[in-house]
Formats: sequence, C-alpha cells, structure tokens
Amino acid sequence: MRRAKAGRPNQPLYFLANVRGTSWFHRLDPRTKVAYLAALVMIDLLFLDPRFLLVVFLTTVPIWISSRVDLRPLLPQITAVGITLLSLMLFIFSFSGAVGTSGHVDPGQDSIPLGPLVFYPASFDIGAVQLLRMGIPMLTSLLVFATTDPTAFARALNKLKVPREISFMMVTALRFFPLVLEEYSNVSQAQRVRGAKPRGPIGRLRFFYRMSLPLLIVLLRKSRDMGIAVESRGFGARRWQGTLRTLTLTRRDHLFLAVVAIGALIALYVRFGLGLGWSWVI
Amino acid sequence: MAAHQSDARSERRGQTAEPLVQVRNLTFKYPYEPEPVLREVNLEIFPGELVILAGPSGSGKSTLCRHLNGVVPHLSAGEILSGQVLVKGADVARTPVHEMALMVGMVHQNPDSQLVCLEVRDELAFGPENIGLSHAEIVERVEQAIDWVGLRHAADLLTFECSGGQKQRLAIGSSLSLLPDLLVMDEPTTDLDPVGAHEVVATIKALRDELGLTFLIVEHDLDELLEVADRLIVMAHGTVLYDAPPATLLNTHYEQLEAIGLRIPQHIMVARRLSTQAGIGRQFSIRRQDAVRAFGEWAARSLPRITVGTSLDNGTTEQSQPLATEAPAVQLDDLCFSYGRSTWTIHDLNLTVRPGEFVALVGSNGSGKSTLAKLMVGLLQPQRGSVRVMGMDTGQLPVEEISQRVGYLFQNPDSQLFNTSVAEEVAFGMRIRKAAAGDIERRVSEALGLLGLEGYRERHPFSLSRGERQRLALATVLVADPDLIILDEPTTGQDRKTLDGLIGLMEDWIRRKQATVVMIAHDMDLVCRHASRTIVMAGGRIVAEGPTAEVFQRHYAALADLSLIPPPVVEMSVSLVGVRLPKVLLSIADLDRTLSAREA
Repeated sequence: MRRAKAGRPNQPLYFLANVRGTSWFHRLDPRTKVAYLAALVMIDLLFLDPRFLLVVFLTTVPIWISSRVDLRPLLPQITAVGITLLSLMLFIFSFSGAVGTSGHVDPGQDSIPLGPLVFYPASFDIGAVQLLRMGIPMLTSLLVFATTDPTAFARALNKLKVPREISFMMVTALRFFPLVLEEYSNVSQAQRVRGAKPRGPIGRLRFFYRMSLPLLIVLLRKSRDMGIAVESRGFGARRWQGTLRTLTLTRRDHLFLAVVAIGALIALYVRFGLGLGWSWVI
Repeated sequence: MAAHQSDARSERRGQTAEPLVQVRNLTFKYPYEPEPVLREVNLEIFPGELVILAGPSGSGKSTLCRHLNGVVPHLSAGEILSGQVLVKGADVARTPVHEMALMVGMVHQNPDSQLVCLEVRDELAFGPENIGLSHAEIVERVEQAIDWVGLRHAADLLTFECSGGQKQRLAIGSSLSLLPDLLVMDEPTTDLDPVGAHEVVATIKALRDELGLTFLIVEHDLDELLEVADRLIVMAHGTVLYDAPPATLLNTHYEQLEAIGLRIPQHIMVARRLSTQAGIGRQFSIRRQDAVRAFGEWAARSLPRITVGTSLDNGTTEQSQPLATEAPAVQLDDLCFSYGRSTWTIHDLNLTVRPGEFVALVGSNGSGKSTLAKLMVGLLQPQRGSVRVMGMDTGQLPVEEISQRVGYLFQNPDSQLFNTSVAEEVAFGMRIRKAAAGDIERRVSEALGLLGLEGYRERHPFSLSRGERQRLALATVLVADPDLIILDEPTTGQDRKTLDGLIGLMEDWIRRKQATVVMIAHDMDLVCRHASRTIVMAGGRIVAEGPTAEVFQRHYAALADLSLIPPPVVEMSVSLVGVRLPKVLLSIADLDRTLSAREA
C-alpha cells in the first residue's frame, strides 16, 4: 500500500482540547496567569548564567505536571517551539562564538569546525543562555494558552485596559482558524483531483499560487459574512459594561500571586543583593 | 398582482395591527451590476406573521433581507435609487445597524460563518454584552435563549463541538438574546444535513407558537415550513411577483410557480394531482397530513386490491440500470479508514458498484459519506482493505492518475475554480496532463457546448453566476471524459431548474458514455427520482443498500430513524405495497403513471 497511514484528527481546534481541565492552574484567573508570565519574563532577563536560568526553568516543571495537561494536542505547537529554539541555538553556536562573551572578537579561542559551520567554546554558553531565555517564556505561554479559555483570556485583557476591539479580534481569529483550514483543504483537494500535483519547489509555488485566488475569494466571503453577523448583533453599539462571566481573584489566585511575588523578590535579591547570575560561566 | 396582495392582507393574522415592516417602492442597485437588483419592491410584514420569501437564485431575496436590518445600505456598497424600508416606523437607511439589531435579528446560511465565540453561553451573551446590559440581565437573557432554542443539553459545549443543527440553533439563539421583534433567516437549513434541518425547522415552529415571534424566512426547501407560513412571497428578477397565503397562491398560480423554478413540496404536487386528475375537490390542502390522507382515501376507492398473479408495472424507467456483465466500476473490500481517532470513520465496508449505475450515498453528517467519496478518488488511502476504482487500486496510484478516469464535483464550485478564463479553466486538467493542443481545443469546445457555456469562453470564472459556476465546475470534470463521476452534495443552494439541469446531464452522460455516477445527497426526493441504487450509511457502515425502491420500501422506518425522511409519495404508498400497489412509488412521475393507469 502506497500511503496507508492514518489521517490526522480532523478536529481543527484540537489544540484547545486542554481548555476544559480542572487543575488548580486551569482555575486561576487569566489575569493571575498574565502576571505570572510577566514575572517569569522579568526574572528571565535578570540572569546571564545558564545555571540560574536552569533553576528558573525547573520551577515551571511542577506547574506543568500539576496542571495535568494532555500533551498530545499540543505536540504541533511544542514541535514548533522546539524547532524555533534549536534553529536559534544552532545560529548562535555557529556565529556568536567568535565574538565571545566580552563583545569583542577573540582570535585566541579554539575553533571546532563542523562541515561549513565553525563553533567556539563560548558559543555553547551563549546558545544555552538564549535557549533558556526564550524557551522558558515560550513554553510557559503555551501552558497558559492551553489551560485558558480564549474568551476568558480576552476578558482578562479587557480588565487590563486592552481595548475590546483588539481582544475580540484575537478570539475571532481563533474562531476563523478552522474555516481557513477547511477551505485550504477543499481548494487543495480540488486541484489534485484535476491532475495538479506540487512537484519540486517551482511546482509547489505554482500550486500555492493557483490556490490563492479561490482561497482568498472564499475566505473574503466568509469574513464578510462573519462581519455582518457581528454587526447584526449590536457590536457597533460599543456599550460594553456587564459581562456574562465576571472575573474575580480567588484565594487560590492571591496565594499563587504571593508565591510569584516571593519568587521575584528572591530573584531580585540574588541578582542585585548577592550580585550573582550576571556573569557568563566561562 | 394587486388582487393577491389584497387577499393576503384580508387573511392576515392580526390585521388591525400596525405593520412591523414596510418596504415602499424600494429600488436598489449594486455598483458592479448594470441593472438594479431590487425594483420597486413593496411589502408589509405584520407582528406575529411567518412569511416565506421564495424565488429562483439571483432574484434579490438576500439583498431584500439585508435591507431589513440595515446591513444594506450601511455595510454594503450600493445605492437606493428610490423608496425606503421602515421597521417599527424607523427608517432603516437612517438608523445605525446596532440599533436595528434590537428590532431585527438575522440568521444566515452557514452557521460556521456567524458564530464568533468559543463557548455556547459566550455566543449567546455576545449581543447583550455589546448593547451594555448588566451582568444579571445578560445571564437572564442567555439562560432564556438556551431554553428557547433547546440547547440546554449542549450549553457547556464549545461552539465547534456542536452539530450543524445545534450551531444553527445557536445562531438563532444569539439573535434572540437581543429580543428582536423580527427574525430574518436567509436559507437557514441549506448547509445542514437532514437531522440539522429538521431541528432548525422544529425550533422555528416552537418559537412561533411559544413566543409569537415574527419571521421572514428565505428558503428553497419549503417542505416543512410552507404549511405553517402565513404568507408566501415570491420574487423574480428583483420584483415581488406574488404575495399571498401559501394555500391561496398554490391553488391559483401553481403552474406559474412551477414555471419560475420554485421547489414545490412533493406532498403539494400530490394534493394538486389528486385534485385535478383524480377529481378530489376543487381546492387542495397544502398540509402534508391532508395530502397523505387524501391519497389513502383515493387509493382505497380507486385502486383495486392486488390478487395473486396481478401485475401492475408502474415502472421507474427514468432510473439508470447497471451493466451487470462488465467489471465493477467501484469495488470496496473490507475497507477501514480512521482520521486518527479511536473509532473508525469507515468500518469494514464492502461494496460493488457496476458501470452504468446512478448510486446515491445518503446518511447524516458524520456517517462517512464524504470520507468514502474521497477514498474512491484516492484523496484518502485506506488503512485496511482495498478500494479499486475502474480496475485501479487507489492505494497504489496517485490521485493525479486516478483522476484521469474519475471526476469529482465538489459541493462548492468556488473551491475548484482557479484560472483566469472559462476556457482556461476547462482546459486546465488536459494541459497539465500534456494533451495535444488540437485535442484540448476540441474537448473544451465540446464540454462548454454541453454545459451551455460557449458564450462565456473569455469571461473570468468568478464573474459568472452561482449556477453558471456550478456548470463550469462540471465542465472541468466532464472534459476529462471520466468513467466515474462523484458528486458531493450537488443540491446545496441550487434552485430546482439548475438542479434538474445538472442531474439531467448526469443521466445523459451515463446513457451516452456508459459511465457511473456516485452522488452524495441529502435531498431524498432527488435520490428517489434519479438514483438506480441507494446506499444508506450510518456510523461509517452501510446500514442499507439496494435498488432505490427496495431501500425505501423495506427500510422505511430505519430511514426515518436516521432523520432521512422519505419523500411524501413514499410515505403515502409504502403501506399500500402488496395490497393495492405492486411496489412503492418513488416520484411524482410514478404517481402520474399510476393515475394514468387508473384513468385508462
């Protein structure tokens, strides 16, 4: 059999499968999660020593575990984050080492050639730091989005004074996503049953070029319909006052925020009080 | 015409009330159209009425609907050349859309394009939040709307987890949560399977009975709605041709309505035939129950009891017959397919389709019909078992090769048109397969001639009307001279004329080329009229299959359980099989033959 593999789950918003969880992290107010993310980014930027950043990363592990998130729906996103980080690390390994941690070219370093790439000992250190600095917030953001209903998240943003139009756009884009996927699949299949096959880079470009017009037209029509549906339900009144779900910070939120604040204070003390974590290992 | 309008007014419920909607001499033109799409339209809608707006595609129905809540002219390009629209006395052209939303709710054809939130309750709260209600009021409106549209059991779902019918009811609920006086629905059941369509119609009936809500509904499929409607307004070429209670209009202008392509419900066709040909009363009822009863009474009086040895061949000669001697067109053996979930989408399926057959695949959404069709053309590969189409193993060959002998017509023609001219569009498949230039030209001309598109060779495909685009999409299939054609729900959004033309072409193609057609369909009337064989699917399995008459006769109750409601003539005749009829009647043509036989 030529290609007897199983099809992908045809649920377009499969990555939202974790939203309905009941763990303590799921039940946190979205504003608490936003505050946690902000604190984590701040702590992340305090350190240059990868060992300290590793400790920061390790503090997120119990949260991942206790939130009981099913990783399968998130695999495409985790893979995307992984590929981004690995590409970044490879880039930094091969290009930043020669410059060195001091910011000046250090011709005295031993180079490690690998095919067309040349690595330096310092570059591994820089790469690890950047990997952790970017990886910690990216993965934690993934956890936050996987465990938060996007509508509730949008409401939290409204509470944080983000204009309703912007938060609404975010939710609508998410709702529009399955329609885009469905139409992409239809148009692509319609080409294939008429004999078109994307062969080679030029062939692929032609294939996608041919798809662009019907895809654009169908999606424009759908977005027009969605726009009409939105306006037909009073969106233009812009008189937002009450909401269906009121966001309230519970004892759980206060407790978690206190832990986050203590963590941030400890990080600040270590960095500025003890003067640790800002120097490179080498 | 004026006479019919005055009839309508005199029979209207609540005739002393002020009209809720007044459309006065409305003439409207889109900037890209040479002629106005609405011409001097006049109509009134009174509180509590259920009004059906019908007419062929392009008659201006949707544009008129959009005038009622102000989407036209506020959010759409175009010019009101004359006249005005008043809702509760407010001039729509001078009232913002968000204010109109409090008076007029709007539900569109595709539920997916109108749901904007991820949770059912949030969707229902969207409108009330926009207009600045308090938390307590929003909660009250949401819970009220959930009950009105019967979504209590689905209230905690995410919107994309809902079935098609639930999504459309949710769209209705989200309009109702603004407590509008009028609900305008533009083809609300067109994109739904029979289960979903039935749910939506039941919801409309319940809302009308319980809330006394006013409705204006644009719909092609009038089977269930017409008998509960107060008025039927028929439009053509941008004008209102008729406006009267449905029973009055159908009794007085039946031929005219048929001539403009209105899909007249089959039970009404039966009632009229009994009235005119069998001489049962001068006026006929438009209620399905009455038609069924009238047919039963006529049959008891006029059809002799069948005795042993009696043969009354009422034939179904319009249906295609298989060529039993040839190799199968489609052969499925122990076929299994899954989209990666724990359950099979297609499960242990065995099937043989012979050349020359016109096969209908029927079933609710999720029954596996479309997946099976895609397996037949090689867009999906089986995980177990095999699919052989015209002798080709689809698991071994690429789609491009299979598609040289198998044509696939998608539900939406717009998904399959991507060239810059009609001629290029039709030639595309042949060019990509490097056919000779002369051969391409000849075959393109043939295909365009067959579909009546010769005059459009240089036009851009997207400049054609919906019906013409559907014919163009079919031309792109036929140009390859396929032995097997798969039609994926060709009925969606088509008026009766376009649909009959398309299916007529398929039948002609089978006769001329000995080809095979597999059609996925929700329209049971269409299936009964044209399919030589019917395959009923549920849960990825074939639950019934055989000659169409046999399937509808033997599995009548099972089909009804799957919400695949057989056409009225089947319902009328199934209990008479073996008693007064040799076999079940499938179509009006069958009924005509029976009536003619009795007259003879």
